[in-house]
Amino acid sequence: MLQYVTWAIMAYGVGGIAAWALRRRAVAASHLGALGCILAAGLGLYGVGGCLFLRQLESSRQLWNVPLASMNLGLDSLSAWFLIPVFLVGGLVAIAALRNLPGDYAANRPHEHWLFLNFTLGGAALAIVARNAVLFLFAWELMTVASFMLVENTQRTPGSRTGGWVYLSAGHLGCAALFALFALLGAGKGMALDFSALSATGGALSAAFLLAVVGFGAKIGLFPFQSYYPEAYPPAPAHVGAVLSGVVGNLGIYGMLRILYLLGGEVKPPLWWGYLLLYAGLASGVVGAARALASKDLSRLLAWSSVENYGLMASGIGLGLLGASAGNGVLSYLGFTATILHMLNHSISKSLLFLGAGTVYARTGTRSLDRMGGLMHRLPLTGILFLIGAMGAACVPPLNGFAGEFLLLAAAFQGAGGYNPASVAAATMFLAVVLFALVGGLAVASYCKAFGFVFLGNDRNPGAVSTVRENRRLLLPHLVLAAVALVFAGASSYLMRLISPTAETLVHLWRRSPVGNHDLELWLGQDRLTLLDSAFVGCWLLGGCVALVYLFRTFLLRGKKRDAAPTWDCGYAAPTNRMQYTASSFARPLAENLQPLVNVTDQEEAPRGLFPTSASFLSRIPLVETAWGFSHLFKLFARIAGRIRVMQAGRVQVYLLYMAVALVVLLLWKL
Amino acid sequence: MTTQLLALTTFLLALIACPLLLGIVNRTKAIFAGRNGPPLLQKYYDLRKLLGKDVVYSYTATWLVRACPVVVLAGSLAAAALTPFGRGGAVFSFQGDFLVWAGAFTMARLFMVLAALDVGSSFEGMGGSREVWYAALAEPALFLSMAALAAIARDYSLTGFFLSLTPEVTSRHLMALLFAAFALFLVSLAENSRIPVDDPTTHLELTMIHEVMILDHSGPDLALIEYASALKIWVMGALVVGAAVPVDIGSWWLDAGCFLGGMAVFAVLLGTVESAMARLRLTRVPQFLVGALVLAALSVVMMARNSA
Repeated sequence: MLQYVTWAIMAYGVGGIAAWALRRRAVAASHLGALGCILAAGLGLYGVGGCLFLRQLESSRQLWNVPLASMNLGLDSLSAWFLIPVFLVGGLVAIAALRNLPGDYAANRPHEHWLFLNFTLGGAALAIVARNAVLFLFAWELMTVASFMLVENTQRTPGSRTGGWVYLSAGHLGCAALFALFALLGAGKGMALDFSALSATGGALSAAFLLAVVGFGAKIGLFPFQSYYPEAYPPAPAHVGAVLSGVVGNLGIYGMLRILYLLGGEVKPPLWWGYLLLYAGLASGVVGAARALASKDLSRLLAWSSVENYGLMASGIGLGLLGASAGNGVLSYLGFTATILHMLNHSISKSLLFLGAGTVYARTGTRSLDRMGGLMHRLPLTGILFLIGAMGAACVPPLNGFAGEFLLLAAAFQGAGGYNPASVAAATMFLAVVLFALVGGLAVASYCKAFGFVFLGNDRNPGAVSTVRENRRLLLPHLVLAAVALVFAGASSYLMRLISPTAETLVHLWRRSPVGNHDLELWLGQDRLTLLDSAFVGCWLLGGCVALVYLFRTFLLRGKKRDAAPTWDCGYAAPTNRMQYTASSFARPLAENLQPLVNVTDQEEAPRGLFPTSASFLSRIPLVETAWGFSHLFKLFARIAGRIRVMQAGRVQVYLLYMAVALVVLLLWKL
Repeated sequence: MTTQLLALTTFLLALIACPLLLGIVNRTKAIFAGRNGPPLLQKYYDLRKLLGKDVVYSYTATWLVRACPVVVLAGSLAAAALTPFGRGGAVFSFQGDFLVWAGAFTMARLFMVLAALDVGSSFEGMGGSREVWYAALAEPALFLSMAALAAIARDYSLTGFFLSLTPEVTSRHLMALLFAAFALFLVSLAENSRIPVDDPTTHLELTMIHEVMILDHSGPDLALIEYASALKIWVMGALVVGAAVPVDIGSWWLDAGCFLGGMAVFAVLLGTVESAMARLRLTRVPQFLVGALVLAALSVVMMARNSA
């Protein structure tokens, strides 16, 4: 089955290059580029499905003429789970982009767009199957740079470049940590840095873990790297957001899990590993959810919500590690299962949301939540699909996202009960319960805002309304994603059992240590309903109740007259669109409560005197971190780089002098 | 089989009796105010009246306004099916069912807020904003109380929480249980839009939370929502009573009697609170909810102290 995935990666490469080669013919280039993604999706999903259902481990190793490198590829169930969003979301995004790109976008070099889209997806897929450090870093870089170019491709205004640059530089800070990580793991390991040869002991083990958290954490906006992450989204086309949130971000989670394979062994992981990931994940969960709620831009809201969800996944890994340290196999199992399950559900829901947002942008011409509304009347099907995505991403039952959050909370509860109640570990678990609940509440609030103010009420921006009706043929990718979301929701129990072997592998990474995992075997062997079935039962219970009450209401309403009237507005009979509550006002009270996290800044000029001539009010949400942390860091880099630039004076004589000095030094050293 | 049947009986009893709870609350308030007050069965009369009416929808409304009553009642119904009323156990019980229980109310809340935004009113959005604001802050207190109960019971289902409260466990963890019950009581005040968080009798749109969100529902739709709210109070009250009055006499009838007595006391308590205090300023409510969280944390601390 690995060969299908390899062919899929080749299809990405060929599709991208073919699109670029045909740059003189925009239509043909677009179709070839999209064909590459779709072909890859078909081949890849076939290969991944085969791997998951046949439970085969496969690997292939070719020599590669690069120092320390080899073409070492492998496909195990962990890789397979993370490949699903790459292929599925990638293929559907390609279809959506193909249909939506015409317009002013066609003038903006579609061949470049397709080249970078194919390379981003191909890089992601290659990184997931890579089993050699150099190959992995190559694929990682390819993905990072290509996704940056994808984001920047449509940008023609100087001001909007900033976000992309922040994205690229932070991505490379993370990358630097990864280089250090593999250098540390591969020190003195011979010729090829294959994953099977990488290992570390003692202090190096913890250093490697820390580097992995920094390197992969930067990709998912893990606290404290959250600030750059959503900056790339607002200017990018919505379907690019789907790729960033539904595919590229997952790689950070994948990297953390894959590195655990290299770090696992005789010694149990130290407790602080688990604590670090749990707390960092919870922190980005809370910050992401709070910022999502306060966002005024739909893309930014969705991006901050991704930070939140990736935070939840990271805390799932943290719970898994805590369980491994404490010998609590069930906790560990629940944490890892929750991470993988939530990754899948989040990718599906979030890409559905971004595609829906793309349809909305195309119709309204704005991204500001305060200027939207009433789209449900004109885009009814888009609205329903967006709601399915929103309920999934907000983890509201009975939709798909609930199962992952359920397992995370169940893990925290399980951990709280499993420890000595007076221990730090138990207190951590209780704190985790509190913060998971807070994040869940904030997420629901954010998606009430995202869906409610885009699709419901009346249009808040009557000037710019296009009267174009919904083109249902463009909604095929949305429909497929929504169908997958519903299947994942309705079959969560089965899905968890498919994920189970992967999670067990992760739990057993430390099995040679005296950690007894008999509790896990006993727990999994129970024949009654376990926690794995609860979300499933709950979703069907809720769905059943809704169906029941629906029938009951139909019964109650039979024969009743249905009238229409203006909305009740305190008895006022002529409400206008401008009198509606706005998205900013909706989020304001909570945002004020969370002021330290959100940083709402007002500039107010109050009306003065008996006959005020002017008044104004401006509310912004500047990023706190770019104001301090990172800008100082980058200024420091700029200063150092300025000093170093003296060496590159541009004079041939100086360069010749460098060469001469280098030669002399080398000669002296060899003597 | 008999336990299943008894659980179903208490479930049906809850469905029938929940509007009566509001009657007791209102009667208590009337007694405090020195009025005669409405009859105990007033809520039933209201519901019957609403069921007989036609429905009116806003011009702006979409299908969400129609879906709201369905989903809200479905949420309350599902939660009721998961809640043990008294010691008989719930209709459905499984590991982690309390998370589904909370999820059912989250689902109901989502649709309630969306329906409020659906009609494009200047006030209903305000109510929705407050609803999600308070819910986000109440959720941590609710889950932490649940976590305390789970740690005391060493079980992860609502039925298990209360079945495991043997006299020995109860006497050992009495303080923890009382703190958890108190925290749950405060959360149920907030979740059910009662004083001091929201005033169910207010008639000024600007100050309302729950009532303002349902302004544009009418007829049978409004009846479904009103009934769902009554059921929600019953369901949350059952949790408070279960934690605060963990009696286990042994006879099903006596236990059920104790539970119903506890529910009546809960209703009187609600009425007393509503008579004795004014509602809080909106900006003070977060402090109230953080107070509930602190009580839940105290419950955890007491549990840990007595388990060690």
